Amino acid sequence: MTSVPLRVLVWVEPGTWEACVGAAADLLGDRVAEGEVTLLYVPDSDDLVQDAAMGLWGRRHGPEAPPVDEFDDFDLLADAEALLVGRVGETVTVHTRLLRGPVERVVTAASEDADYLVLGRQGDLSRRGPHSLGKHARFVVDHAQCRVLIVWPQPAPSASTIPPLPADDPRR
Amino acid sequence: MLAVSGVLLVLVLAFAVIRPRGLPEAVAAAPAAIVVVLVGAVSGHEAWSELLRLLPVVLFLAAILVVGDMCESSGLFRWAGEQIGRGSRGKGQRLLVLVVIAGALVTAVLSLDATVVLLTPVVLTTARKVRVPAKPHVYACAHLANSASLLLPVSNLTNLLAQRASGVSFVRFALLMLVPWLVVIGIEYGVLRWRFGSELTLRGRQITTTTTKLPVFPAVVVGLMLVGFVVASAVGIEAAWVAGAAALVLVVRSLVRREVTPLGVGRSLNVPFVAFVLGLGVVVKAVVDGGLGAFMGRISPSGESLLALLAWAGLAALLANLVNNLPAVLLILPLAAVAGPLAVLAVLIGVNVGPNLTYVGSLATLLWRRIASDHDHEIPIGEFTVLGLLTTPASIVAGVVALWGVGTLVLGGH
Repeated sequence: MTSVPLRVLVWVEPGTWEACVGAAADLLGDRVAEGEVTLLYVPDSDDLVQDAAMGLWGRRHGPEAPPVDEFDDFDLLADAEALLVGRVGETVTVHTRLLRGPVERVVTAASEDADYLVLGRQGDLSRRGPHSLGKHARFVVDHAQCRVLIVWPQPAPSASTIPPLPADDPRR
Repeated sequence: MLAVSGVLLVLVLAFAVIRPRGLPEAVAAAPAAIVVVLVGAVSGHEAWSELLRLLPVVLFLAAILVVGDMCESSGLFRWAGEQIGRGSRGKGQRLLVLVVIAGALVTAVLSLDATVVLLTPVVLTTARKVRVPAKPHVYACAHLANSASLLLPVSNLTNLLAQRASGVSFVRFALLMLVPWLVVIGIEYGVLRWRFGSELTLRGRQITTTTTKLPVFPAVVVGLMLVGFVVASAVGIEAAWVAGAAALVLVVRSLVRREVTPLGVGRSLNVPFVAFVLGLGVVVKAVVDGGLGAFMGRISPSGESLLALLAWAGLAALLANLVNNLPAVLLILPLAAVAGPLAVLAVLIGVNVGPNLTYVGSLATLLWRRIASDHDHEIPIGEFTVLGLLTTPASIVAGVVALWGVGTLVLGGH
């Protein structure tokens, strides 16, 4: 069996990063030495803050709004890196990347030279189904060229949340 | 004559939305105000009395913007963000409750501008520190800036204009609006909690250390300012004097402590915006007196029955969504003031909560942004608009019903 190279892109987000890093560690398994892991974070919602001020007209031109604290974005990546190294050891090659832009497109572009993409479900986590993925994750899953590993950030809801087979389904 | 002033009003509003080369809105509004006087659409005397009527309101706005900025530069918002972050204990749901409370209080006391410009970025930072998705909390701020601006005459520029038109005292205004304010905030919270239910269950991390101490001095000044509003209203002094005094005290202290520069204070005062409001007021006056007022008088409701109040609020919300809330309230106030104080307050519920229907305050702004923005930065119309459709009609109706209940049953006989 030819061995598949192990360039793993992990899309970390607040709330999902621990589960994603854990899944990446599992994926590496005993091939840590050949693995190359990139931890990617694309902060969202910056634009929301800017746009919300549009309704104010001229009043938004007053003082500079306090700068968004970028330190914490790196902080998240640093913690994700520490968690990964803690799980698989120092021998792993880790890169961290903080990118800006339309989240789903940036992540898809970053996954072009990855063999695996690990991402967490970001949508409705109360039931299983298509909405559990989230809008951005949906786009990435549908457009990525690589193998995608989708992770529940917390224990998956029970199978009872899956809708039953419709009453008129012939296979019933 | 109506045609001339109508075209000028459209131009002024279009300029304010498009802001070619980033020029201040006043660049169009001030000359337009002069033109409507020169062509005789409004007499010099009437224009002057309109300016005098608006002046205390815009001076108040300038002062309260300075107060907000000085609070920011002294660390009050940073402190609030840290307290919210620590109080959330790493739980998104708790964070949302605290953000809603903070948003409601900041909006009520320091006006909606402070929430949008000063609190929202702090909330974004806080959500990231707590490591939970920031979106529900940022949306909460954006929504509350509008819907929580019902409580006090000082919470929104529109309220100040309306309070003067209705002749309702500061305390009575607050008493009439307290229940609608709470009802509307409750609806906003409920919908946010439901809509972002699962995002809010994602666990973040606990923050135990805070680095910013409560800046006591600005907090006390803001508290005194609030008391001052009540007292000033009782003895018939303009709220602008109170806000001005608070701004002055905070500016002097911040300058002495080198937390701000004189240039920064000048920017905070935002003179171009003051000029814009004054110019807009004169142009609107010309349009209303030129015939639009008579036309709107025919289509607007009469009386203060529950249905009439709902109609006032609906009309106001519609207008606010078409042209932004400031011109909307200038247009509709003269009519509502005739119908009575409850009609004026219903109009406020419409113009203040109504803009939540779209992301950017009004349809005009939204459409322009859709046309102008490149594809790298398209406004996420869907998500916010769904949220707006869920909360805005319900909030307006429930708020008006609450206002009617309080106004006629509890505090009746105005």
